[in-house]
Amino acid sequence: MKKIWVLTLILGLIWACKKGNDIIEEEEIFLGFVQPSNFPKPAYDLSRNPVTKDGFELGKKLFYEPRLSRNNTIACGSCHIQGAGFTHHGHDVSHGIDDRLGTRNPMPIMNLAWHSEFFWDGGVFDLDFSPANAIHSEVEMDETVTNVLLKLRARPEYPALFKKAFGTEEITDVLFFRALSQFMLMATSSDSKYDKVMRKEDGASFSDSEKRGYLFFQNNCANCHKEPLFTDLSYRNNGIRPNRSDDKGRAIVSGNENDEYRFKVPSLRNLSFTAPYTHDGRYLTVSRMLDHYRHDMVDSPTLDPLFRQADGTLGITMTEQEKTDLMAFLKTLEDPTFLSNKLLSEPFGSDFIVN
Amino acid sequence: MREKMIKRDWKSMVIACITCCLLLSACKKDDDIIDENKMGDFSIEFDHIVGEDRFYIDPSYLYRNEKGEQFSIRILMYYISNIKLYKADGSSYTVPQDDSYFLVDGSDRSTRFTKVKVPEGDYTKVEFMIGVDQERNMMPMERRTGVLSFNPGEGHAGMFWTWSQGYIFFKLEGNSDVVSDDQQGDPTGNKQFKYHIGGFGYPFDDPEAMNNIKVITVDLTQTSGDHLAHVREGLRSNVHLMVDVMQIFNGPYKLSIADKPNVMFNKEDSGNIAGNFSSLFTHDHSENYVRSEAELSSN
Repeated sequence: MKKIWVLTLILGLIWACKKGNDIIEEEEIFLGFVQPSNFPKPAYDLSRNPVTKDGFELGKKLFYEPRLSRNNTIACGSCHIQGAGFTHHGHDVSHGIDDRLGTRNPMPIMNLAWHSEFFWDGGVFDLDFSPANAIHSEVEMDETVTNVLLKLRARPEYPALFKKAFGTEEITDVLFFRALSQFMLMATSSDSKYDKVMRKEDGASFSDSEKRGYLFFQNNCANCHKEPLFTDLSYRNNGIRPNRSDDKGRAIVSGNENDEYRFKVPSLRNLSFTAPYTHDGRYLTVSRMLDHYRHDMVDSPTLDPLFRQADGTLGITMTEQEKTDLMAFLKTLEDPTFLSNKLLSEPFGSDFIVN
Repeated sequence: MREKMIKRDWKSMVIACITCCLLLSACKKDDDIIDENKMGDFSIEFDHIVGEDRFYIDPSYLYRNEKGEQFSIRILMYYISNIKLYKADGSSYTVPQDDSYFLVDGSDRSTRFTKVKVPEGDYTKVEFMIGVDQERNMMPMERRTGVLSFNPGEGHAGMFWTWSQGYIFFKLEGNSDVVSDDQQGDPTGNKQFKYHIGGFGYPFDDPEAMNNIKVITVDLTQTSGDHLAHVREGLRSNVHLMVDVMQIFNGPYKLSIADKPNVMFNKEDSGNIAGNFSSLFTHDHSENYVRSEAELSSN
């Protein structure tokens, strides 16, 4: 009997040791911002706001913090759901506070370190400021950053978390935005099959159909959806018929009528998970989106000239076979590790509920 | 003999007096030698009026513009920045930019002074910007402190467009019965008019981009009497401006509340209103060698 106790004690000690090791390992896993070898240099100046474990963790808590909204119901993570590539799955336009609807489909929180302008119209040109847009939007969070800071200051847990991350308990706008940026900067998607083929990793290679699709893509799509981000970050009119809200896109920000109906070229990474498509989420499937380029483009003075064919028709000519191949290639942009990366997931036990 | 004595005494007293005066004035002159290495306090005061009425934030106090429209004022806020002072010889002093941002709030009298430190000197002209310059509008968070931040108690209190990033330079809101209840006016039925003027010319490569940055120059030599800004160490010089809010409506551009109850992002309309800015400011007087702000408040 005594022996059993001793044995149990020894086993218990071993287990305790093992647990300790695990914790150390977990600490080591946090690598901070990692530059994928097939990506260009980030647009964000990381020397200004180096990503640290504690800064990132605070940013993650804030990303999933419903107190960022007026009535404490909507978090960033409400409309930017990880499983949907950090978009609002199933919603054409963002569905915000008090069930109010916006006029645009939420863009993904993905590879933003390489962007210097944000949102469909590029109205925000500093990643640090991008959360303020959603917080202040009447149809999204309908709050003010100033009041969010007051709410956070009143919570018992936050001063300590800010101290851990930034060395001060004082909760200021700069530190609040830095923490959120650190979270967003870590949302890198660079482990799709496409990336592995490009980096010649794990012996990955395209199938014949994917190869043909990639060729078609390079000849017909890559001008705007430029590799490796699959967006050239520009604003273009791709012939979407204006809807009843008559969203003029980039022109709202620039005041220039030459920018009317131009929207930022969205990335195609994780396309399968970010439905619906276009700035107002009118197309439910990738197939329908491609058919837009085949049949449904609407002419207007600001239509991108790339869509004007020599014979006067608009759009991209595509056979059924080409479309099938292209869709096969686009599937290679799926990055399941990004969609399930626990590092970016809602922390267990947070008081945030995904709608 | 006695008379002579008195006469001589009188003479010597006059001489003594003159000598004393000369000595005194010499002393005073000594004291007033300008040392440009010394810094003195300088402020511009933004004292609000509305035409020939006092300025009130009061829904029951009605003003009447040139178009005959009656209105009350609910919010008046604007940025003053980039303060620069000139001397008669044309030389100038620019206040270090980090110390040169102020948010004047019509509802808070304590915000009416833009207090800065300036080298000793007799200044004949002051210059300031209504709004926030292009450079600061592009700077990272950590360079946007005080009135330029979101921080509670000190920040910009909503003088910032978050969706098309940039500071709102000038905000005037109020109520007028001429505002319609439809989408063009105030659909809430509260008869509000809102003028939010901003735009710093972004995107810079777009010549069409809205740019409402205005620099105001005030010539202190045009006011009768000595109303230059005499800045001296340990003392305060205050340039007292009257800010006639009515000029938003009655300036070179005649603004009708009924026609334009909301002006924010329309380039032409906001440009017209910003074009009225320079008419708002007139130099009333300057207060020099001031020892405490209490002295200014009594004026």
